[in-house]
Amino acid sequence: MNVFGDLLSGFGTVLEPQYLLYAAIGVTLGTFVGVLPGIGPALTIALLLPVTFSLDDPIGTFIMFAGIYYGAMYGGSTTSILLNTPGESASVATAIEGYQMARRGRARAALATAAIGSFVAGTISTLLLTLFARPVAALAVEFRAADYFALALLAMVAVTALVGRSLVRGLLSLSLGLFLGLVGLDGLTGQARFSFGTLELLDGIDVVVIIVGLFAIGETLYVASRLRQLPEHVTPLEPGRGGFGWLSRSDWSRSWRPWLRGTAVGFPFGALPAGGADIPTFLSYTFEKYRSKNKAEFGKGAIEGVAGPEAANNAAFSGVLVPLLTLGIPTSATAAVMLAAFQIFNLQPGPQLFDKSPELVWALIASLYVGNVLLLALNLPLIRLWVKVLQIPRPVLYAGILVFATLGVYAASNDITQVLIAYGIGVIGFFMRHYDFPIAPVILGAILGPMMELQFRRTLVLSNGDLSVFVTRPLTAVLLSLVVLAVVVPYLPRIIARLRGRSAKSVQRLAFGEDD
Amino acid sequence: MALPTTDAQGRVDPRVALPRAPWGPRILGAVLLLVGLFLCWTAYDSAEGDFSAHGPWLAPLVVTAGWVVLSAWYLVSQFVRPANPTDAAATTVEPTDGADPALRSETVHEPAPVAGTAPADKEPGAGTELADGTNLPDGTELVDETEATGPVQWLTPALLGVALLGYVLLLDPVGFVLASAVFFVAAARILGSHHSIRDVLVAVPLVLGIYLGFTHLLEISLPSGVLPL
Repeated sequence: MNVFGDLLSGFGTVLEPQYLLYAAIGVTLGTFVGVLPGIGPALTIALLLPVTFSLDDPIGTFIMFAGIYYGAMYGGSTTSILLNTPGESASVATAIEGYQMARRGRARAALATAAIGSFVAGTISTLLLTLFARPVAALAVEFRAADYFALALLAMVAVTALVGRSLVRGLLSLSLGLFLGLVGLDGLTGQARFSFGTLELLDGIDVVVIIVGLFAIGETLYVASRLRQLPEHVTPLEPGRGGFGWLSRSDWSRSWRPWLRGTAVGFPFGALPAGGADIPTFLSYTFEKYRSKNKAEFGKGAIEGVAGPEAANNAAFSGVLVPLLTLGIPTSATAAVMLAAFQIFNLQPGPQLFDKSPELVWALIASLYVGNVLLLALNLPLIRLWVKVLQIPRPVLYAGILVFATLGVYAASNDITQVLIAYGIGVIGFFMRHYDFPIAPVILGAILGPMMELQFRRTLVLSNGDLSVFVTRPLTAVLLSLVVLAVVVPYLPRIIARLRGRSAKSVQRLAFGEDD
Repeated sequence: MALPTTDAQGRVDPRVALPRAPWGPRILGAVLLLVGLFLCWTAYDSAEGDFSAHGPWLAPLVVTAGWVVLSAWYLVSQFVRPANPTDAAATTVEPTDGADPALRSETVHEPAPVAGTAPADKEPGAGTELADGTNLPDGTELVDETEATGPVQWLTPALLGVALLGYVLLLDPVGFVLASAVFFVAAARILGSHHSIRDVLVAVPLVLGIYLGFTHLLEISLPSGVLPL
């Protein structure tokens, strides 16, 4: 098994003091930003992207990103538990029971089961990633342009159809994203598309600009429109018992199975092109509720309801990395930001990445293990500090976010026009939030759209314009039929109800929490 | 298409399900349709008859045509079924027992710092505790549910937008430090801060720290402007 040889060399890189420092900085920064209410991992990475511009060391940068991501996720669970404001839909399930535990004076146990569960799930799922990455990459070499087209289409449509409550609104969001992705010079012919005669639009609209606009500017404007209705109350931590007193014996025995089950759900769902962590966290929550011996406790702070979803959330991230690293296909908003980060360093994730820059890939994977350990070691003892961060007054917090968002776009482009574009997208984002349009499809559309178009046209060039290649190649045909399935599945409960002669009205469309 | 997620089971506070003025979504739909038509026409016009599948104009045409169809669908649905409470915002759907509905509980659709509509929140007593210090219009409702009932303040985001515009236009001539510090204090004020001195005390070190960190440590240049830094 040379996987372990590769991994060992990855560890060799990561454990150098300078990289260890990067990992520590990443975890701390990520937790700090992730704890801020309303900021999920995707925005955290997007806001911190400019910090990495001056590092000309991709390995260090990605080690930092891994730390930032884990930190942001951990910080998000803290916010969900203590303030009941999940920063992204993947922590919605955690907030349900976690907040109730905190209100009943069990905040420490909730935070501890979230942190330790994240650690367990992160470690196991990273191990799975280690084992699966190379075989999947080897498989991916067989993928042709037509398959990539179908896969990108599947990732986009699945997220839009399965996540969120309205298919029309989801698809409209997707169209906006696809449109934003089209702006600029066409890569194959050099023709300007939708640039409206301006030079600034010829280069296209950067994904970072879109993300900062939608998440930071749009979100802040949205918050501003309903300021009076925000919770300010941070549930206090009960007095500490110190040491290992965070979880009692019965907490441990009630937590470990949900951790493992959450991991088992999270990793495969993360790896599928179905929107990352949203679906597995809700599945895990439902499963724990269904299985639990303490069913009555659910809704009043059952520890299983925190342990399972948090583990699923973390495991899904390693799962998302499988298609991202081996195929270059992002399946969640966060993965799309990671892809943007790769592209800044002119790295194209995909099967070749494992041959071209193995040291980067394995250092990244090794840094996931290290980030996990650091997180547990740094953050649980520092919890009081993070609670302080939660208490930053809202006006100051959001003013700061606006400054950072402006700074991020400006530092990345050195161009006022880009900042104005980000603001414009922010205004669109505000109206999208106001009218309940999902955000994730915009980002996936903007990043997957150009990829999809390129592969589509490449396929047609190879097949001399013969469209039947999309149906005759088995893999492509299977993937395309999955696209159809993804659109139909959410309506299945209603269709079945109608077949059984019941009123379809009482059965709603199957949907999952929306990604942010 | 979302069904009204709330009223079917009648589980939700009736106030949440009150039909809101349906004109917002209708205007939005009309605007979307017009923009879509314009973009579609732009694509058609620029294509100059080149509609080949491997050419550069197929994708723009498909995307914008899809946009037109979808926005038309959205617009029509706003007239057919105007009072759709799910359009309002987070509606509280209590997860029922069993598998599927709980998945959908979906509550917070919302990465926002708006409280999640966790089902257990409905428990009596939670409201006042949560609403802690916030002067809600009716003073009684749970924080998360007021999202649908509370008035939307249009002035605040509009002012914030103006402040942002001023900020970015002043960035180059005035410099990062001064523009950011002034913007920070102004934005905090717009967002409801009553402690201007505190805001200044936060803004100045923060902005100076960012400036020095970026220009010296990260070697990314920011406009220095009028201050001799």
